[in-house]
Amino acid sequence: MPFCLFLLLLLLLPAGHASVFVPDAADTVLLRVAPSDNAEVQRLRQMRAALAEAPGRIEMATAFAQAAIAHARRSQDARWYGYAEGALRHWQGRERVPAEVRVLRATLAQHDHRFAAALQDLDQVLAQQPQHLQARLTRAVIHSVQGRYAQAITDCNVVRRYRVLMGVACLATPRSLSGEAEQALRMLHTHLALAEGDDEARLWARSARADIGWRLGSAETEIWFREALDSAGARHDMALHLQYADFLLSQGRVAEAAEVARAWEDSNEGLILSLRARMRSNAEAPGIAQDRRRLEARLEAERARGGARHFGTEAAAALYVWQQPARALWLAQRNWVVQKTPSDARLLLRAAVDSGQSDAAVPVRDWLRENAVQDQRLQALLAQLGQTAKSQAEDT
Amino acid sequence: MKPFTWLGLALLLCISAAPLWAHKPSDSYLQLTVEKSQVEGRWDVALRDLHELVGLDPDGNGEVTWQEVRDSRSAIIAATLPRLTLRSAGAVCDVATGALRIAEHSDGLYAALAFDGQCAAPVEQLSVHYDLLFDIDPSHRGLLRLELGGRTYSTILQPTARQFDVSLEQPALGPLFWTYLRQGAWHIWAGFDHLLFLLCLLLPAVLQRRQEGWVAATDARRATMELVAIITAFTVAHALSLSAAALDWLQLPTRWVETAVAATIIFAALNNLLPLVQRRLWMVAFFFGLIHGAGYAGVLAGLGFDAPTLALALLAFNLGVEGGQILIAAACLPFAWMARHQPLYRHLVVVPGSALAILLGSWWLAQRLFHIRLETLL
Repeated sequence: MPFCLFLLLLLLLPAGHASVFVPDAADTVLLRVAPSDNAEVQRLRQMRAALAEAPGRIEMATAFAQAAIAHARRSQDARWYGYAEGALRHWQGRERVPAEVRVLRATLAQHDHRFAAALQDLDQVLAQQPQHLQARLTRAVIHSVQGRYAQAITDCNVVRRYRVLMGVACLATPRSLSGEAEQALRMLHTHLALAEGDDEARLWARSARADIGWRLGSAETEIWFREALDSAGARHDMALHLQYADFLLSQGRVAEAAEVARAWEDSNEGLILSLRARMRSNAEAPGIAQDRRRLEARLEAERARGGARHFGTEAAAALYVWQQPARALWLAQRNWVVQKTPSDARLLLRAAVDSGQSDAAVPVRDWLRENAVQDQRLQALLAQLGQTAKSQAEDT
Repeated sequence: MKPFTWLGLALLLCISAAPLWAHKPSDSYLQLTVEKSQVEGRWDVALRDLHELVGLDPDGNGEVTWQEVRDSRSAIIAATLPRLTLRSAGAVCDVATGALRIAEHSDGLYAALAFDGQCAAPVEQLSVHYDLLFDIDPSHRGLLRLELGGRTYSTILQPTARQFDVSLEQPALGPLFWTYLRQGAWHIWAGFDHLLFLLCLLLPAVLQRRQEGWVAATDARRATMELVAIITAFTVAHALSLSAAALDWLQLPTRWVETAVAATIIFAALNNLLPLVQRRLWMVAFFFGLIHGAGYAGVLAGLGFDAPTLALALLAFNLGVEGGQILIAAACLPFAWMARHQPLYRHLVVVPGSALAILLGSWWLAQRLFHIRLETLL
């Protein structure tokens, strides 16, 4: 038996090798890159070249890593996270690691879902420099994503003392998930009306407001999303756009959702949302079969390269695109172990509803109760699950 | 470093924490096929990576054309091939480049570089050393697929594992079977805790527990069968968890498994003195077998066998374990049977033996649980 399973595993390994071809014409465009007059990329390359000459120079290394991460975020090109990591490699395995290096390393680890490694670095930094705001913010986000709201609030409060709006934006999510959603909304309103803070803080605060508004079922959610999307810097914000597309989808505004998601199809999450929206209106529409294959190939390529698996993304693909609720539930449960945001909860509950497994909801139910989480979408899913359980009980 | 820009970084993590920013990091796909002394290769490197390494857009208009890729051919070769070393029997194989074409992968287009390696002698052992891009991008991965002697090997080359070694020689199956059968039987002798556990189960097999205490068993056949049932249950369970560990499906912290093994010895010995479990002892043996098997994760892991060979090795090993236990039981049982009426057997063998086992088991338990070393106590 183990042997058969083993053979099956071997068969499931990806072929990994695409067909080769010779392009038709010499002027066929194979790749679009930043043109040579792109000042930002030029500057990054110069910084990297200079760093290569002096690998241990901390201010050069951290400046490059920081710029590379910012560029990765704007351009959605994950390679720049790798280049940032490369710049910090000098301190790998050393005992004395400068705080700035630790914070950047934690940022990269967090991006890669290695939360424990990120927390280890951040705890060390904050033990020595309790006022390190970047470390506070990053740690607050990790605590919040993993459901430790009290700890997140403690970190955000430190930020708030120095950067009011940034701190308020930071506080909004953990507060709203520990029974104070209305208060968190009011706090955001008040501080946004004061027009304080910089662009980034405003974008974050507005995004948080739309997020909380949606959870509470507020009639103004649409307006708040619009305000967030119109903020300076929102253009590059994939998470915000995809969340808006998700919101539109929940309102039955399928065509608009597809339109928003389409611009982000280069990412797996964007492609999944775009497919969801298009499949809702017509599952046989042209392009859908091809995009499903595209998604499958991408997820396969990600698994093939090893490393931490992104169970949440795989769960969403299994649930919405392949419509395999049992498998999606398995994946969503693994994801729930790692992170506990409302969208992770939704994924798990939806998979539980679709696969008729009301018992699977217990961890989410516990989380909701223990933290007094307010979320109408989750309540609706739980009610649906209750119906399923009841009809199952009647059947037997 | 202004706090302003610092704070900006936070945003890429935050905002309702979308799962991830998912554009795939850099990979290359390397395929090698070994035929006698020749290594036929194809290496797909992302155009995006090559652009970073050699600059594929000399006119700077933001579009990389097929013409530009072709013109960069020698630069591409100079930036890639020196980062790949093939060695057979210690000698570096010469590599000559072939056609440069384009391959499509899930995240875009790649340059597909064909090459031929020429090794000094027919390849029986090959080392692949890979060093592309790691200096600027530690998240880069080289996905190697290698065909040698009718077998296909896959591995992921990364900064912490830049080399892959493979050898043509898979051991002949007959000798392999004997080797692992012997190892299985030896495994019983070598692991003293294993042996002790077995003896604890063996000692009272010739006795029956009654209200008034231990009495000699009357039915030799029944006593033997009970013993065989216990040993077999133990072996089957042991085989299950050992196989799962060898196939890497089960990974338990060694310290806890070893602590649990010590606990099973205490339990088995205690059971001889105070009746804890009297019936269906085989079920206890089965459960404990699972624990003992998991403790030997290292025995068969990482041998580099292909699947059928590994399956045969596992089978032989487990048969060896069973055989070894039956042999020990067969050697002890006749003496125990003859001595069973002697009160001495009970008072000088079963009771002190079990007590000694409890002492040893407790010592191991403490040692493994709290990392106590004898030297530190003395």
